Amino acid sequence: MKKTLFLAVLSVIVFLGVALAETGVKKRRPLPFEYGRVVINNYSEGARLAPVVFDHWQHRMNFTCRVCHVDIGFAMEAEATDIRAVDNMSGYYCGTCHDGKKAFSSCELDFGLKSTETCDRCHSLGKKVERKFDFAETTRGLPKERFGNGIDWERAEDEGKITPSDYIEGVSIKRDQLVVQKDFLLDAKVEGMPEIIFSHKKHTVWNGCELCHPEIFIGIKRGTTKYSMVDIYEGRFCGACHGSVAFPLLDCQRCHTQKVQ
Amino acid sequence: MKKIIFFALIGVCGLGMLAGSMFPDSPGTVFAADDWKQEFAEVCGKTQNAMEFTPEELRSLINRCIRLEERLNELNGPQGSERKVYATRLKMCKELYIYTLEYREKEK
Repeated sequence: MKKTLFLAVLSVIVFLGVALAETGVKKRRPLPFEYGRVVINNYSEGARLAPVVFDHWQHRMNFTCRVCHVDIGFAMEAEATDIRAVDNMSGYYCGTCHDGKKAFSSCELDFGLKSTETCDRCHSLGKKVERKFDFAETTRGLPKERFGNGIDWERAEDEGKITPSDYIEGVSIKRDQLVVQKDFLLDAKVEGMPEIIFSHKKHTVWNGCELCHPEIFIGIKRGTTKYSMVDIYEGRFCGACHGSVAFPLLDCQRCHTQKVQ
Repeated sequence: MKKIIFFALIGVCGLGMLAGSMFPDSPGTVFAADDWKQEFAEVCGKTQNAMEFTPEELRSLINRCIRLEERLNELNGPQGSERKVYATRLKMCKELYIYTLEYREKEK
């Protein structure tokens, strides 16, 4: 009897020990409204402000990736842009649109003196700030997807439900019609996995050329760069966008589309 | 009389210079600013067609980017934000042309 009790207690201790020792490497999957969220804290805390919480979904409904990441000059990595309040106040970065006319004003010297309400609209990490645009309400009529924001952004544009602008007057350059490069096939490394058809058209319509080449895809000749899912999961190549903003890597069949012969 | 006119002209010129230095972003300096922006728009407005250019055309575009970079580096003071943004944009555009040129040359 004593032996059984001893073993039972020991099992419980071992079980609890294992459970508590679990450091947990698995990341929590973001909720649809959180997907694509970026926290920017270059100088915020130094200025005694909460870090900025930027929601991609709200901005991508209205603008292509190129407008912000090429024409306005936001880097592709969070906090790599070195945004200062003075830049915004001079009409650059967030201040390009958030100038008090096109959208609510960003970073004014006397904001803090009046109230922090306007600052809090962006500098909101850890604060209970009610967003002006509710995710569920705003995206209600858009075609659904399984992962990421839960929205099929590509289809939403095809169906005319969103019309992201590729031009901001006074900022963007008037460009010629894009000469779209051919789609191409990439072999899957795992046997039985459908091959990938990379569509230049789908990507250039939102990104142009210089957003991806050469910063993300440096390989000159097709086949010279070896892509692995490990690299991609670590944020390189396709992972620069897919996994953080564009549909996530869980959605295998959106890239691995070609039937296996 | 001539002396008065001479001193009046000097006075007017002096006032003009003083006003110019007090308002560096006034229309008097707009031409120089627009000058490099126009060149930027011409050079970087062609990225859509990068793959259509010959190696010589691409080399010429890269050289124009390098010259523009030098001009951007001369901007300072209140134009610091502008320089930061345009330097990033110019870098992307120049690197695309270099990338395309390398592609073209490897193609041969």
